[in-house]
Amino acid sequence: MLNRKRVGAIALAAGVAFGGVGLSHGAPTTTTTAKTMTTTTTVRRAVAAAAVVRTPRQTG
Amino acid sequence: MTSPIRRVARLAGLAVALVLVGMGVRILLPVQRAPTSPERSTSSERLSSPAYTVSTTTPDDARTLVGYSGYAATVKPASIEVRDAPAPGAPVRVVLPDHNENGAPQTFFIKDEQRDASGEVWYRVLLPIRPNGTTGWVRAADVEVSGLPYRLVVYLAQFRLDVFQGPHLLRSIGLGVGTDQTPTPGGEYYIKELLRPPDPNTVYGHYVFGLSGFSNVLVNWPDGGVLGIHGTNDPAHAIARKVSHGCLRMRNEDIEYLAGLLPLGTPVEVET
Repeated sequence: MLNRKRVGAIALAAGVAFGGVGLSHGAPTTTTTAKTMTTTTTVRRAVAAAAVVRTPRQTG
Repeated sequence: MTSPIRRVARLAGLAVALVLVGMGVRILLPVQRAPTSPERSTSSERLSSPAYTVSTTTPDDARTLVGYSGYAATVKPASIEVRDAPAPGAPVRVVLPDHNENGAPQTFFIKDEQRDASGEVWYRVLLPIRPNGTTGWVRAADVEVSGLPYRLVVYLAQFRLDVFQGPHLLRSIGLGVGTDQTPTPGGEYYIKELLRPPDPNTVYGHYVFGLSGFSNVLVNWPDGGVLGIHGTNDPAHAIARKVSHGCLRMRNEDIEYLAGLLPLGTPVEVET
């Protein structure tokens, strides 16, 4: 026989599981999301950086 | 005495309420995902979702871009004032020249955008200054914006760097990382310069990418302890080890691949 505690535990577990299902299907994927800019300037695709000939001083 | 019908109705109501509470709990909890799988990397999501927060745009003046991992801002005037807030009268956080200390075009990674009271657009940008992660606001009119196709995710514990184009993993590269005394700090950075050493047979190898971040230990290093990603002249002892002062070392063939691919501004997420 189901008592209140059992009903509560089952319902809570169902809620957590259902919430998880909803999230995993509804979460936006990262880079497939369209980015919107409010500016009207032309945006070009960045190209590979030009190398500067210089002795490095990074931490190495 | 409660009738059986009322008791059932109360239990059903309680069940529905608990289901809703459970869903709320689940939604409020952070979603933990294994960082080792490219498709499920939380770090990748943090960097790129979204690079822009749309503010007061209208459909008429909006410009929609698809497929970029983020946006770079390159300084146009001879120097740029970076402010604490998106307003002309906000305090100036730092003034930076149009080229950095190594002669590379001064470039930032754009984190956000906003219009001020007059309608002028401002960008919140990640800055190449201490402390790591510092941001500030620049006028959109003072920078040229470009779309970034790639992003890097570094997994220090696995000595690995992954190159992504959008959701696609292009290449996984083995790394050497900082020692326990001079660890590579985790965080969000971007590529601010590409250097080609005059002598390719040094610890830096054939190319060096300078990052926007700094060592947390080597504060008196030349140029302030800038972190880098570079090649090596000793691949047998440089990969899959804690060997560096904080930089990320890789084989020369890998750094040559990246040098031919990555623009300035490319985001780099370092997972500890």
